[in-house]
Amino acid sequence: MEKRSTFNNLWLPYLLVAPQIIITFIFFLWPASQALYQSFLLEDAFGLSSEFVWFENFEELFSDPLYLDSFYTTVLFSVSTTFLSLSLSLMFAVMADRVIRGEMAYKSILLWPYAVAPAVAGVLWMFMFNTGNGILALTLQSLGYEWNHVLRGGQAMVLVIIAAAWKQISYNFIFFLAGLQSIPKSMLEASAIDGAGPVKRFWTIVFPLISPTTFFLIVVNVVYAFFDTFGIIHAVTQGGPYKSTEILVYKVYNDGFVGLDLGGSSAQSVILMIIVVSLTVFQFRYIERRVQY
Amino acid sequence: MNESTRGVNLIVYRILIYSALLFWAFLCLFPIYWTITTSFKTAVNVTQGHLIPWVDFTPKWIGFRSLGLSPETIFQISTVRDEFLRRFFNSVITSISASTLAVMLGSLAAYGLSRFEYKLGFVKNTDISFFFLSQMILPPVVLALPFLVLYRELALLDSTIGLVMLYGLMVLPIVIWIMRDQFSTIPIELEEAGLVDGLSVWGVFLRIVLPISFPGMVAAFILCLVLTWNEYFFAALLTSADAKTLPVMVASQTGSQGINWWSMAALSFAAIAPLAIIGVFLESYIVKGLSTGAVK
Repeated sequence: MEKRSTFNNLWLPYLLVAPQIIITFIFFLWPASQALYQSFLLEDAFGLSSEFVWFENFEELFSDPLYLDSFYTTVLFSVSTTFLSLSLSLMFAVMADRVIRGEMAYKSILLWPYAVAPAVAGVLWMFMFNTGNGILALTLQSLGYEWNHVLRGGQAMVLVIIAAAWKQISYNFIFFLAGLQSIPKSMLEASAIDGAGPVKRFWTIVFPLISPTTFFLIVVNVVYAFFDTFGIIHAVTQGGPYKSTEILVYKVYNDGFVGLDLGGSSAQSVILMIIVVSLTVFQFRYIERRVQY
Repeated sequence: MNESTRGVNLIVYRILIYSALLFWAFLCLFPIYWTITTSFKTAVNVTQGHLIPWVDFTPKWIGFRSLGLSPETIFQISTVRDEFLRRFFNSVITSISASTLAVMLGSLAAYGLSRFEYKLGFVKNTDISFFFLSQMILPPVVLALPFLVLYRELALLDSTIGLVMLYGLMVLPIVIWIMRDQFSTIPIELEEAGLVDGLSVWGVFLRIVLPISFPGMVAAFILCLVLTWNEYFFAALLTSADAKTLPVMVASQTGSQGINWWSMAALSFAAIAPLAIIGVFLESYIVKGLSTGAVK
């Protein structure tokens, strides 16, 4: 590690980081430890007394078919969202990379989906898919396909996946475009001279070279789909119909704040915590060093 | 291959690429367009899929009338409008104060981390940085329950101050991340020259470091603004009558008596517009913030 020259001062440096450290302890470490502690407690039905039960809450969770269903829903949701969003963004970033003219307009206006709140993004797509007056629902209807995400679980899932993927496309697009533009043009020209067509050039040269970006974006998008999509689900489906879109984050909320099962809900949060920490450690370890901008 | 077929191929290729890009723009913008125009349409226009104002349909202030914001209702007393304005300004106040707070505290901490050496036993600069940055990863829902308890104890439930503090905390790590990057690009010799010329440490910070790193600060501020303006989970959880923000109001139009489409469309418009405008003018800052912040 390079050694930076630094100033010397006895108390100022500590004063500079003190607010942050205090805030961290009150608003971050204390709540996190509370969640951990709560996950080992079992409250009685009236919330009057609680008992320390070690891992009982966790055991109960993993034998609960509803929880396992929710796990499956979450994986399906995250994988589809990430795949849909990344593949679309990459495809169009490759096209935009060829056309540098009008880049400003591209970047500024096409950034809008990123600036839309997840809850509002959900609402936008709900408008378009609303049975009876949404333009997409009407189009599907005229093609003879009945769309009703209020009644059909599968369709509700498709709707939230589309909304979630749409919200991320411009973010992914920007990173892909930056990655693509950092590839030396001479490399592509060399392979073109050697007779490789555009498709072959993409898979043998471009794709491997932007793989660090792709990898980084996969992690970011999976984390997003796991945790930041609460607003979409809450605004559009509320986890329904019949829990078909109840992802883990929503289940924590539903069980803890609607169902008031505090121990179970905390145990679920701890599991989420473990998932996100491992995803992030994975990212820091293997990606951080290799992604260059 | 002779010259003329190559020319034709090139043109076909261009047309293909440009139409694909137009489709991309359409994909990004159509949902927003559809919702905004919906707020100006009558029910017939909506169900028949009319798209272009003045050509397909005559715009009417339907969505905005239901919010009390159309030309003919703007001077009348309207409880819905009062409600909307309260939510809107709650959002404005909360996001601006939280972002300002985060940029101020975060810049100081980042400056400390990039310019001083910390020794607290075995804890060094990198450990402190990691400790701060690690908070970025925790999903809010994990902290929700203890927060509810904490805020009830502190009487901060349903208060703008409580929300500002929470949002400030949420975006602080991002500010530190971006600003640490910014400060490390400034050569320390500049500051040493300032010190030699008789400025205090604060003088150096305010007169030399701050002006140079200002673009980075703007980038961090705007990124914070986007994230806090859009925050939904804690706003839905911790606020009710007083401090509720705009995104929660948009989503809560899905009531038990069905959905009020027009006011929902108009509200969505109001929730998107401020950031869309900022996005057009300050796009480069957002991209800069995103690529240095590189997490959210």
